[in-house]
Amino acid sequence: MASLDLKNISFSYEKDKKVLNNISLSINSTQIVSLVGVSGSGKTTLFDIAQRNKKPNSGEVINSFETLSFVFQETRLLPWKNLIDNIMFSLIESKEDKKTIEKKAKDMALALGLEENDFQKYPKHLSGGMAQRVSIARALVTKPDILFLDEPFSALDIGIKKEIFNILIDLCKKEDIALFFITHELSDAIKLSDKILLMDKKDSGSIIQNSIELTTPQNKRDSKYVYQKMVELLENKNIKDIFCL
Amino acid sequence: MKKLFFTFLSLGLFFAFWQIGHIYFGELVLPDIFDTLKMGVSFFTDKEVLENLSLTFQRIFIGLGSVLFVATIFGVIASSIKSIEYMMTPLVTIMLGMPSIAWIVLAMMWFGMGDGTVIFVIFIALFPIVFLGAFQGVQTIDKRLIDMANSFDISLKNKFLNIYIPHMFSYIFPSWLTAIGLSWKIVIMAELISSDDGMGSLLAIARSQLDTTMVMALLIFMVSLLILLERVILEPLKRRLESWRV
Repeated sequence: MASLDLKNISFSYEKDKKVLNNISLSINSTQIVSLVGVSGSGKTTLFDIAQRNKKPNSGEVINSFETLSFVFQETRLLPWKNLIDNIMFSLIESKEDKKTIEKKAKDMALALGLEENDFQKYPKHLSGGMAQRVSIARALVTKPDILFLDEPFSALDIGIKKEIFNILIDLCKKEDIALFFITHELSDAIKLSDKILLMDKKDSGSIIQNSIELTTPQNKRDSKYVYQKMVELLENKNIKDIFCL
Repeated sequence: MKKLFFTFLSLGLFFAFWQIGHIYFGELVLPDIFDTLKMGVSFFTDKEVLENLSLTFQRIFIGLGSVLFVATIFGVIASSIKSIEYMMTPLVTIMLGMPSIAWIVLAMMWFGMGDGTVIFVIFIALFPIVFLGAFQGVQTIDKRLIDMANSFDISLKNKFLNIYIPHMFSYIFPSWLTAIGLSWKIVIMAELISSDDGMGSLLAIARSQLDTTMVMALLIFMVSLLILLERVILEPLKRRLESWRV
Protein backbone atom coordinates (compact mmCIF):
# COMPACT_ATOMS: atom_id res chain seq x y z
CA MET A 1 0.00 0.00 0.00
CA ALA A 2 1.37 3.40 -1.00
CA SER A 3 1.96 5.95 1.71
CA LEU A 4 3.46 9.32 2.49
CA ASP A 5 5.45 9.34 5.70
CA LEU A 6 6.96 12.36 7.34
CA LYS A 7 9.39 11.35 10.05
CA ASN A 8 10.67 13.68 12.77
CA ILE A 9 10.54 16.76 10.57
CA SER A 10 11.98 19.99 11.98
CA PHE A 11 12.33 23.21 10.08
CA SER A 12 13.30 26.80 10.79
CA TYR A 13 13.52 29.86 8.56
CA GLU A 14 15.80 31.62 11.03
CA LYS A 15 18.33 30.11 13.40
CA ASP A 16 16.90 29.13 16.79
CA LYS A 17 13.34 29.89 15.67
CA LYS A 18 11.72 26.61 14.83
CA VAL A 19 8.59 26.67 12.71
CA LEU A 20 8.16 22.91 12.76
CA ASN A 21 9.28 20.82 15.67
CA ASN A 22 9.78 17.07 15.31
CA ILE A 23 6.67 16.33 13.27
CA SER A 24 5.72 12.82 12.20
CA LEU A 25 2.67 11.81 10.25
CA SER A 26 1.56 9.20 7.80
CA ILE A 27 -1.03 9.15 5.01
CA ASN A 28 -2.02 5.87 3.40
CA SER A 29 -3.59 5.43 0.01
CA THR A 30 -7.33 6.20 -0.18
CA GLN A 31 -7.14 8.01 3.16
CA ILE A 32 -8.31 11.60 3.64
CA VAL A 33 -6.20 13.33 6.24
CA SER A 34 -6.69 16.91 7.39
CA LEU A 35 -4.17 19.06 9.11
CA VAL A 36 -5.94 21.68 11.21
CA GLY A 37 -4.33 24.62 12.93
CA VAL A 38 -4.52 28.37 13.28
CA SER A 39 -2.82 30.68 10.78
CA GLY A 40 0.92 30.80 11.30
CA SER A 41 1.15 27.35 12.88
CA GLY A 42 3.40 26.12 10.05
CA LYS A 43 0.80 24.16 8.08
CA THR A 44 1.86 25.48 4.69
CA THR A 45 5.54 24.98 5.52
CA LEU A 46 4.84 21.37 6.38
CA PHE A 47 2.86 21.08 3.17
CA ASP A 48 5.81 22.44 1.19
CA ILE A 49 8.11 19.92 2.83
CA ALA A 50 5.70 17.07 2.08
CA GLN A 51 5.71 18.20 -1.57
CA ARG A 52 9.53 18.44 -1.48
CA ASN A 53 9.40 22.17 -2.26
CA LYS A 54 11.36 22.79 0.93
CA LYS A 55 14.05 20.72 2.60
CA PRO A 56 13.64 20.05 6.31
CA ASN A 57 16.53 20.81 8.68
CA SER A 58 16.14 17.33 10.05
CA GLY A 59 13.91 14.33 9.50
CA GLU A 60 12.87 12.65 6.28
CA VAL A 61 10.01 12.41 3.81
CA ILE A 62 9.30 8.95 2.45
CA ASN A 63 6.81 8.91 -0.38
CA SER A 64 5.70 5.82 -2.26
CA PHE A 65 2.79 7.48 -4.08
CA GLU A 66 3.55 7.58 -7.79
CA THR A 67 1.67 10.68 -8.87
CA LEU A 68 1.09 13.71 -6.72
CA SER A 69 -1.14 16.65 -7.49
CA PHE A 70 -1.80 20.00 -5.87
CA VAL A 71 -4.57 22.51 -5.34
CA PHE A 72 -3.48 25.81 -3.91
CA GLN A 73 -5.13 28.44 -1.75
CA GLU A 74 -5.18 30.83 -4.71
CA THR A 75 -6.31 29.13 -7.90
CA ARG A 76 -3.07 29.88 -9.81
CA LEU A 77 -4.80 29.65 -13.16
CA LEU A 78 -2.96 30.97 -16.19
CA PRO A 79 -4.86 34.17 -17.09
CA TRP A 80 -4.07 33.86 -20.82
CA LYS A 81 -5.48 30.34 -21.12
CA ASN A 82 -9.16 29.53 -21.23
CA LEU A 83 -10.87 27.18 -18.80
CA ILE A 84 -10.18 23.97 -20.74
CA ASP A 85 -6.60 24.91 -21.61
CA ASN A 86 -5.96 25.59 -17.93
CA ILE A 87 -7.13 22.09 -17.03
CA MET A 88 -5.09 20.62 -19.90
CA PHE A 89 -1.98 22.41 -18.66
CA SER A 90 -1.23 19.76 -16.02
CA LEU A 91 -1.17 17.12 -18.79
CA ILE A 92 1.04 19.11 -21.13
CA GLU A 93 3.95 16.69 -20.68
CA SER A 94 1.72 13.71 -21.42
CA LYS A 95 2.57 11.56 -24.43
CA GLU A 96 -1.12 11.24 -25.37
CA ASP A 97 -2.46 13.15 -28.35
CA LYS A 98 -4.11 16.52 -27.87
CA LYS A 99 -7.61 15.27 -28.59
CA THR A 100 -7.44 12.63 -25.86
CA ILE A 101 -6.09 15.17 -23.38
CA GLU A 102 -8.81 17.63 -24.32
CA LYS A 103 -11.48 14.97 -23.83
CA LYS A 104 -10.07 14.11 -20.40
CA ALA A 105 -10.05 17.79 -19.45
CA LYS A 106 -13.63 18.29 -20.62
CA ASP A 107 -14.86 15.18 -18.80
CA MET A 108 -13.15 16.31 -15.62
CA ALA A 109 -14.59 19.82 -15.98
CA LEU A 110 -18.09 18.38 -16.33
CA ALA A 111 -17.52 16.04 -13.38
CA LEU A 112 -16.69 19.08 -11.27
CA GLY A 113 -19.93 20.78 -12.21
CA LEU A 114 -18.51 23.18 -14.82
CA GLU A 115 -20.65 23.83 -17.87
CA GLU A 116 -19.75 23.45 -21.52
CA ASN A 117 -20.74 27.09 -22.19
CA ASP A 118 -17.94 28.21 -19.92
CA PHE A 119 -15.15 26.14 -21.48
CA GLN A 120 -13.84 28.98 -23.63
CA LYS A 121 -13.95 31.57 -20.84
CA TYR A 122 -10.77 33.08 -19.47
CA PRO A 123 -10.09 33.05 -15.69
CA LYS A 124 -10.95 36.74 -15.49
CA HIS A 125 -14.53 35.89 -16.35
CA LEU A 126 -14.89 33.00 -13.88
CA SER A 127 -16.41 33.35 -10.42
CA GLY A 128 -14.31 32.33 -7.40
CA GLY A 129 -16.14 29.00 -7.14
CA MET A 130 -15.72 28.23 -10.83
CA ALA A 131 -12.04 29.14 -10.79
CA GLN A 132 -11.45 26.86 -7.82
CA ARG A 133 -13.29 24.03 -9.59
CA VAL A 134 -10.95 24.53 -12.55
CA SER A 135 -7.90 24.32 -10.32
CA ILE A 136 -9.24 21.14 -8.71
CA ALA A 137 -10.02 19.70 -12.16
CA ARG A 138 -6.47 20.58 -13.27
CA ALA A 139 -5.12 18.60 -10.33
CA LEU A 140 -7.48 15.62 -10.63
CA VAL A 141 -7.16 15.17 -14.39
CA THR A 142 -3.62 13.88 -13.83
CA LYS A 143 -5.17 10.91 -11.99
CA PRO A 144 -3.06 11.44 -8.89
CA ASP A 145 -2.55 8.84 -6.17
CA ILE A 146 -2.50 11.63 -3.64
CA LEU A 147 -3.98 15.10 -3.83
CA PHE A 148 -2.65 17.95 -1.70
CA LEU A 149 -5.13 20.69 -0.85
CA ASP A 150 -3.80 23.88 0.72
CA GLU A 151 -6.89 25.69 2.05
CA PRO A 152 -8.44 25.96 -1.40
CA PHE A 153 -11.95 26.54 -0.05
CA SER A 154 -11.28 29.43 2.32
CA ALA A 155 -12.64 32.08 -0.06
CA LEU A 156 -15.74 30.14 -1.15
CA ASP A 157 -19.24 30.56 0.20
CA ILE A 158 -20.88 27.76 2.10
CA GLY A 159 -23.14 26.41 -0.70
CA ILE A 160 -20.37 26.17 -3.30
CA LYS A 161 -18.03 24.68 -0.71
CA LYS A 162 -20.55 21.95 0.13
CA GLU A 163 -21.07 21.11 -3.53
CA ILE A 164 -17.33 20.92 -4.26
CA PHE A 165 -16.77 18.79 -1.13
CA ASN A 166 -19.36 16.27 -2.30
CA ILE A 167 -17.84 16.06 -5.78
CA LEU A 168 -14.36 15.73 -4.33
CA ILE A 169 -15.37 12.99 -1.87
CA ASP A 170 -17.09 11.04 -4.65
CA LEU A 171 -14.13 11.31 -7.00
CA CYS A 172 -11.53 10.47 -4.37
CA LYS A 173 -13.41 7.42 -3.13
CA LYS A 174 -14.21 6.25 -6.67
CA GLU A 175 -10.66 6.72 -7.98
CA ASP A 176 -8.87 5.68 -4.76
CA ILE A 177 -7.15 9.01 -4.31
CA ALA A 178 -5.56 9.85 -0.98
CA LEU A 179 -6.11 13.42 0.17
CA PHE A 180 -3.92 15.61 2.34
CA PHE A 181 -5.94 18.66 3.27
CA ILE A 182 -4.73 21.71 5.12
CA THR A 183 -7.28 23.98 6.74
CA HIS A 184 -7.97 26.28 9.64
CA GLU A 185 -11.71 25.50 9.40
CA LEU A 186 -12.53 22.65 11.73
CA SER A 187 -15.94 22.13 10.10
CA ASP A 188 -14.31 21.55 6.66
CA ALA A 189 -12.02 18.96 8.19
CA ILE A 190 -14.96 17.20 9.87
CA LYS A 191 -16.87 17.05 6.59
CA LEU A 192 -13.99 15.66 4.53
CA SER A 193 -11.59 13.66 6.66
CA ASP A 194 -10.96 10.13 7.79
CA LYS A 195 -8.39 11.48 10.19
CA ILE A 196 -7.78 14.96 11.62
CA LEU A 197 -4.36 16.02 12.83
CA LEU A 198 -4.09 19.04 15.05
CA MET A 199 -1.22 21.43 14.68
CA ASP A 200 -0.21 23.52 17.63
CA LYS A 201 1.46 26.89 17.21
CA LYS A 202 2.60 27.31 20.80
CA ASP A 203 5.24 24.63 20.82
CA SER A 204 6.70 25.95 17.54
CA GLY A 205 4.58 23.96 15.11
CA SER A 206 4.15 20.47 16.42
CA ILE A 207 1.43 17.94 15.83
CA ILE A 208 -0.58 16.83 18.80
CA GLN A 209 -0.17 13.12 18.65
CA ASN A 210 -3.69 11.94 19.42
CA SER A 211 -5.25 12.34 16.03
CA ILE A 212 -9.04 12.36 15.67
CA GLU A 213 -10.45 9.47 13.66
CA LEU A 214 -13.85 9.91 12.01
CA THR A 215 -15.57 6.68 11.06
CA THR A 216 -18.91 7.88 9.68
CA PRO A 217 -18.75 7.71 5.85
CA GLN A 218 -18.33 11.17 4.32
CA ASN A 219 -21.50 10.97 2.26
CA LYS A 220 -23.50 10.48 5.48
CA ARG A 221 -22.05 13.58 7.12
CA ASP A 222 -24.80 16.13 6.81
CA SER A 223 -24.83 19.58 8.38
CA LYS A 224 -26.29 18.17 11.59
CA TYR A 225 -23.46 15.66 11.91
CA VAL A 226 -20.83 18.32 11.24
CA TYR A 227 -22.41 20.65 13.79
CA GLN A 228 -22.65 17.96 16.50
CA LYS A 229 -19.09 16.80 15.89
CA MET A 230 -17.94 20.39 16.00
CA VAL A 231 -19.58 20.93 19.41
CA GLU A 232 -18.03 17.70 20.64
CA LEU A 233 -14.58 18.60 19.38
CA LEU A 234 -14.72 22.10 20.78
CA GLU A 235 -14.92 20.50 24.22
CA ASN A 236 -11.60 18.80 23.47
CA LYS A 237 -8.82 20.38 25.51
CA ASN A 238 -6.27 20.23 22.71
CA ILE A 239 -8.59 22.02 20.32
CA LYS A 240 -9.42 24.64 22.94
CA ASP A 241 -5.70 25.22 23.41
CA ILE A 242 -4.95 25.38 19.70
CA PHE A 243 -7.69 27.84 18.89
CA CYS A 244 -7.16 29.73 22.18
CA LEU A 245 -10.80 29.21 23.26
CA MET B 1 -23.14 56.20 -33.02
CA LYS B 2 -22.79 59.11 -30.59
CA LYS B 3 -19.02 58.64 -30.62
CA LEU B 4 -18.95 58.68 -34.43
CA PHE B 5 -21.00 61.87 -34.49
CA PHE B 6 -18.64 63.69 -32.16
CA THR B 7 -15.58 62.38 -34.02
CA PHE B 8 -16.90 63.83 -37.26
CA LEU B 9 -18.01 67.00 -35.50
CA SER B 10 -14.50 67.47 -34.11
CA LEU B 11 -12.88 66.87 -37.53
CA GLY B 12 -15.44 69.14 -39.20
CA LEU B 13 -14.69 71.97 -36.77
CA PHE B 14 -10.95 71.47 -37.23
CA PHE B 15 -11.23 71.76 -41.02
CA ALA B 16 -13.63 74.70 -40.74
CA PHE B 17 -11.19 76.66 -38.57
CA TRP B 18 -8.42 75.72 -40.97
CA GLN B 19 -10.40 77.11 -43.90
CA ILE B 20 -11.24 80.29 -41.96
CA GLY B 21 -7.52 80.61 -41.20
CA HIS B 22 -6.77 80.18 -44.90
CA ILE B 23 -9.24 82.91 -45.88
CA TYR B 24 -7.97 85.23 -43.17
CA PHE B 25 -4.17 84.66 -43.31
CA GLY B 26 -3.70 83.58 -46.91
CA GLU B 27 -2.13 80.71 -48.85
CA LEU B 28 1.33 80.92 -47.31
CA VAL B 29 0.19 80.34 -43.72
CA LEU B 30 -2.66 77.92 -44.33
CA PRO B 31 -3.42 76.49 -47.78
CA ASP B 32 -6.90 75.87 -49.11
CA ILE B 33 -8.28 72.80 -47.36
CA PHE B 34 -9.75 71.31 -50.53
CA ASP B 35 -6.52 71.72 -52.55
CA THR B 36 -4.59 70.16 -49.69
CA LEU B 37 -6.89 67.19 -49.30
CA LYS B 38 -6.89 66.65 -53.06
CA MET B 39 -3.11 66.69 -53.15
CA GLY B 40 -2.95 64.39 -50.10
CA VAL B 41 -5.22 61.85 -51.80
CA SER B 42 -3.19 62.09 -55.03
CA PHE B 43 -0.09 60.93 -53.11
CA PHE B 44 -1.58 57.46 -52.86
CA THR B 45 -1.01 57.09 -56.62
CA ASP B 46 1.98 59.43 -57.08
CA LYS B 47 5.01 57.38 -58.20
CA GLU B 48 7.62 59.70 -56.67
CA VAL B 49 5.86 59.82 -53.31
CA LEU B 50 5.36 56.06 -53.27
CA GLU B 51 9.04 55.45 -54.07
CA ASN B 52 10.06 57.71 -51.19
CA LEU B 53 7.48 56.06 -48.96
CA SER B 54 8.88 52.64 -49.78
CA LEU B 55 12.38 53.89 -48.86
CA THR B 56 11.07 55.24 -45.55
CA PHE B 57 9.32 51.95 -44.84
CA GLN B 58 12.52 50.04 -45.57
CA ARG B 59 14.38 52.16 -43.02
CA ILE B 60 11.62 51.69 -40.44
CA PHE B 61 11.61 47.97 -41.13
CA ILE B 62 15.36 47.59 -40.58
CA GLY B 63 15.60 49.99 -37.61
CA LEU B 64 12.49 48.76 -35.89
CA GLY B 65 13.13 45.09 -36.61
CA SER B 66 16.62 45.27 -35.15
CA VAL B 67 15.62 47.30 -32.08
CA LEU B 68 12.67 45.00 -31.27
CA PHE B 69 14.94 41.98 -31.53
CA VAL B 70 18.04 43.30 -29.75
CA ALA B 71 16.35 45.36 -27.01
CA THR B 72 13.93 42.55 -26.14
CA ILE B 73 16.79 40.08 -25.75
CA PHE B 74 18.79 42.59 -23.67
CA GLY B 75 15.72 43.26 -21.50
CA VAL B 76 15.18 39.56 -20.84
CA ILE B 77 18.87 38.98 -20.06
CA ALA B 78 19.11 42.05 -17.80
CA SER B 79 16.10 40.97 -15.78
CA SER B 80 17.61 37.54 -15.22
CA ILE B 81 21.24 38.53 -14.51
CA LYS B 82 21.77 41.22 -11.88
CA SER B 83 25.21 42.34 -13.10
CA ILE B 84 23.82 42.97 -16.60
CA GLU B 85 20.89 44.88 -15.07
CA TYR B 86 23.30 47.11 -13.14
CA MET B 87 25.35 47.72 -16.27
CA MET B 88 22.34 48.47 -18.45
CA THR B 89 20.55 50.82 -16.03
CA PRO B 90 22.80 53.90 -16.50
CA LEU B 91 22.97 53.36 -20.27
CA VAL B 92 19.20 53.16 -20.58
CA THR B 93 18.80 56.23 -18.38
CA ILE B 94 21.14 58.17 -20.68
CA MET B 95 19.28 56.95 -23.76
CA LEU B 96 15.94 57.92 -22.23
CA GLY B 97 17.22 61.38 -21.34
CA MET B 98 18.73 62.11 -24.76
CA PRO B 99 16.39 63.95 -27.13
CA SER B 100 16.05 62.19 -30.50
CA ILE B 101 17.25 65.32 -32.26
CA ALA B 102 20.58 65.07 -30.40
CA TRP B 103 21.03 61.52 -31.66
CA ILE B 104 20.39 62.77 -35.21
CA VAL B 105 23.17 65.36 -34.89
CA LEU B 106 25.61 62.76 -33.57
CA ALA B 107 24.55 60.14 -36.12
CA MET B 108 25.05 62.62 -38.99
CA MET B 109 28.64 63.11 -37.83
CA TRP B 110 29.21 59.38 -37.47
CA PHE B 111 27.34 58.00 -40.47
CA GLY B 112 26.89 60.98 -42.79
CA MET B 113 23.67 61.63 -44.71
CA GLY B 114 21.44 58.67 -45.59
CA ASP B 115 20.28 55.28 -44.44
CA GLY B 116 22.81 54.69 -41.64
CA THR B 117 21.84 57.81 -39.72
CA VAL B 118 18.09 57.24 -39.99
CA ILE B 119 18.28 53.57 -39.00
CA PHE B 120 20.65 54.32 -36.13
CA VAL B 121 18.35 57.03 -34.74
CA ILE B 122 15.33 54.72 -34.86
CA PHE B 123 17.32 52.04 -33.07
CA ILE B 124 18.81 54.21 -30.36
CA ALA B 125 15.68 56.26 -29.66
CA LEU B 126 13.47 53.21 -29.30
CA PHE B 127 15.93 50.95 -27.48
CA PRO B 128 15.04 52.08 -23.91
CA ILE B 129 11.28 51.74 -24.49
CA VAL B 130 11.51 48.19 -25.80
CA PHE B 131 14.20 47.25 -23.28
CA LEU B 132 12.11 48.38 -20.31
CA GLY B 133 9.02 46.56 -21.63
CA ALA B 134 10.93 43.28 -21.84
CA PHE B 135 12.70 43.89 -18.52
CA GLN B 136 9.44 44.46 -16.64
CA GLY B 137 7.85 41.54 -18.44
CA VAL B 138 10.28 39.10 -16.86
CA GLN B 139 10.45 40.89 -13.49
CA THR B 140 6.72 40.74 -12.89
CA ILE B 141 6.22 37.03 -13.53
CA ASP B 142 4.12 35.55 -10.73
CA LYS B 143 6.42 33.07 -8.99
CA ARG B 144 3.37 31.17 -7.73
CA LEU B 145 2.54 30.22 -11.32
CA ILE B 146 6.03 28.80 -11.69
CA ASP B 147 5.59 26.86 -8.42
CA MET B 148 2.29 25.55 -9.75
CA ALA B 149 3.99 24.42 -12.97
CA ASN B 150 6.77 22.78 -10.96
CA SER B 151 4.20 20.89 -8.92
CA PHE B 152 3.01 19.25 -12.16
CA ASP B 153 6.60 18.54 -13.29
CA ILE B 154 6.28 20.82 -16.30
CA SER B 155 9.48 21.02 -18.38
CA LEU B 156 11.43 24.24 -18.78
CA LYS B 157 10.46 24.38 -22.46
CA ASN B 158 6.76 24.21 -21.65
CA LYS B 159 7.10 26.66 -18.78
CA PHE B 160 8.76 29.03 -21.21
CA LEU B 161 6.10 28.59 -23.89
CA ASN B 162 3.07 28.62 -21.59
CA ILE B 163 4.04 30.99 -18.77
CA TYR B 164 7.11 33.10 -19.46
CA ILE B 165 6.36 34.07 -23.06
CA PRO B 166 2.62 34.86 -22.68
CA HIS B 167 3.30 36.88 -19.55
CA MET B 168 6.26 38.75 -21.01
CA PHE B 169 4.33 39.38 -24.16
CA SER B 170 1.64 41.24 -22.24
CA TYR B 171 4.35 43.74 -21.25
CA ILE B 172 6.46 43.59 -24.37
CA PHE B 173 3.64 44.00 -26.86
CA PRO B 174 2.43 47.42 -25.63
CA SER B 175 6.03 48.64 -25.70
CA TRP B 176 6.35 47.32 -29.25
CA LEU B 177 3.19 49.18 -30.24
CA THR B 178 4.58 52.40 -28.77
CA ALA B 179 7.85 51.76 -30.60
CA ILE B 180 6.07 51.20 -33.92
CA GLY B 181 4.07 54.43 -33.56
CA LEU B 182 7.14 56.40 -32.51
CA SER B 183 9.33 54.95 -35.25
CA TRP B 184 7.16 56.63 -37.85
CA LYS B 185 7.62 60.01 -36.21
CA ILE B 186 11.35 59.53 -35.64
CA VAL B 187 12.07 58.39 -39.19
CA ILE B 188 10.37 61.48 -40.65
CA MET B 189 12.36 63.74 -38.35
CA ALA B 190 15.63 61.95 -39.10
CA GLU B 191 15.01 62.03 -42.86
CA LEU B 192 14.00 65.68 -42.74
CA ILE B 193 17.36 66.63 -41.29
CA SER B 194 19.76 64.01 -42.48
CA SER B 195 18.60 62.46 -45.73
CA ASP B 196 17.96 63.51 -49.30
CA ASP B 197 15.36 60.87 -49.91
CA GLY B 198 12.39 59.38 -48.05
CA MET B 199 9.19 61.03 -46.86
CA GLY B 200 11.02 63.35 -44.47
CA SER B 201 13.14 64.72 -47.27
CA LEU B 202 10.01 65.44 -49.35
CA LEU B 203 8.84 67.52 -46.42
CA ALA B 204 12.19 69.33 -46.29
CA ILE B 205 12.03 70.09 -50.02
CA ALA B 206 8.45 71.41 -49.74
CA ARG B 207 9.51 73.60 -46.81
CA SER B 208 12.49 75.02 -48.68
CA GLN B 209 10.20 75.90 -51.60
CA LEU B 210 7.69 77.47 -49.19
CA ASP B 211 5.06 75.13 -50.64
CA THR B 212 2.66 75.09 -47.67
CA THR B 213 0.04 73.10 -49.58
CA MET B 214 2.57 70.35 -50.21
CA VAL B 215 3.77 70.42 -46.56
CA MET B 216 0.23 70.13 -45.23
CA ALA B 217 -0.75 67.51 -47.80
CA LEU B 218 2.32 65.44 -46.86
CA LEU B 219 1.47 65.76 -43.18
CA ILE B 220 -2.12 64.66 -43.79
CA PHE B 221 -0.84 61.75 -45.89
CA MET B 222 1.62 60.66 -43.19
CA VAL B 223 -0.86 60.95 -40.34
CA SER B 224 -3.46 59.02 -42.39
CA LEU B 225 -0.95 56.22 -42.93
CA LEU B 226 -0.13 56.09 -39.22
CA ILE B 227 -3.83 55.99 -38.29
CA LEU B 228 -4.39 53.29 -40.91
CA LEU B 229 -1.49 51.25 -39.51
CA GLU B 230 -2.80 51.56 -35.95
CA ARG B 231 -6.47 50.96 -36.70
CA VAL B 232 -6.20 48.29 -39.36
CA ILE B 233 -3.23 46.25 -38.18
CA LEU B 234 -1.98 47.02 -34.70
CA GLU B 235 -5.17 47.46 -32.69
CA PRO B 236 -6.98 44.37 -34.09
CA LEU B 237 -3.78 42.39 -33.51
CA LYS B 238 -3.60 43.66 -29.94
CA ARG B 239 -7.26 42.83 -29.33
CA ARG B 240 -6.76 39.34 -30.67
CA LEU B 241 -3.62 38.62 -28.71
CA GLU B 242 -4.92 40.07 -25.47
CA SER B 243 -8.50 38.85 -25.54
CA TRP B 244 -7.93 37.22 -22.14
CA ARG B 245 -7.46 40.63 -20.52
CA VAL B 246 -10.78 42.15 -21.59
